[in-house]
Amino acid sequence: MDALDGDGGFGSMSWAGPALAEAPVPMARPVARTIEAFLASIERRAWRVAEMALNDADEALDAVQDTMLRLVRHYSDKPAEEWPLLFWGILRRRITDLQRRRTVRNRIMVWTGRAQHDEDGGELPMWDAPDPGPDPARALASRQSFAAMSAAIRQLPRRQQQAFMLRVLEGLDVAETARAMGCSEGSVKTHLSRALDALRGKLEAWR
Amino acid sequence: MNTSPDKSDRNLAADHELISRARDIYAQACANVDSRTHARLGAARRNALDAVHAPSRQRLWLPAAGAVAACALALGVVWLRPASAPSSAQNQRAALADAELPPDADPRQLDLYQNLDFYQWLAQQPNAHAPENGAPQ
Repeated sequence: MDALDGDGGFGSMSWAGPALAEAPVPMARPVARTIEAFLASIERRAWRVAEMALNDADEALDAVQDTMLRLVRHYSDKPAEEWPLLFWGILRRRITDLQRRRTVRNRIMVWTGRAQHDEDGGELPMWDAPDPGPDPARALASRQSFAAMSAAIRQLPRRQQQAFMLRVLEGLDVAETARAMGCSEGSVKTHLSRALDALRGKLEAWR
Repeated sequence: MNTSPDKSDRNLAADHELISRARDIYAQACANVDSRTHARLGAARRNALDAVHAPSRQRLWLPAAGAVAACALALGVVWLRPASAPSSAQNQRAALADAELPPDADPRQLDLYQNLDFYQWLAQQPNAHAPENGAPQ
């Protein structure tokens, strides 16, 4: 069924359209009229998305800061309605860049024999575990659920991660997700369908 | 690939639950960002906004810096010019030196210069142009 991979894929018949149509819509977000208000409204979500993808709080912060800088520098004169898509598009590219750099760095460490391994022989990440910070104890369950969901999302291929986070978590529609991902709407549907197939069995761990 | 209706319905229900749960978790996580990270995000935002204003200040300073550089260049040129450029007296001396040089050789005299030794010897011969005694006139 999934005959094509990458951005040209249109093979999947099920792309979670009905499920997404029935799922609760994310809270409607007012359009910020100033670039500062827009950044203030999106910064937490952007950091969480970057953290999910990178599994590193500091790198996520760097990615968000760089995205803010580029948006303000190059697109602050664009209409405010365009800022969200531009922002997510920049952040997506920045995250991809950091993920690629990390892959190269890990390969170099393996070649030089400096890679660390966990108990199962898997490579340990080159970064420190994120600092949970002084959150209240009542947020523990929420953090654990978020960590489990993040881990499951990170196991997806990169394009599926992006489709899931933008379409499901951020609530962008298919066309907006396609623009932010720089691909066709059909590709978004394919990536999302595969992501949901992969995540369906892991829901119990998120409770 | 045939998908039975029951399986499709089950998947649809599971997807619905998955999406709802994922959005809940995401919303809670965004609401519960620790204060340290929140402060760092605010600082990142201010840095991004400040960076935009920085170029405008640069644009103000750029013409002033250019004017100062142009003045410095002009002063340097004026100051260094007397030392390096030839004076009118030097020009006159150079013209005189040129005047004392021998004129260019006439092409017809090239034979004279090339056989100068011969013509010098010939000039030193007594009565070189007079006929010898007893010679027929």
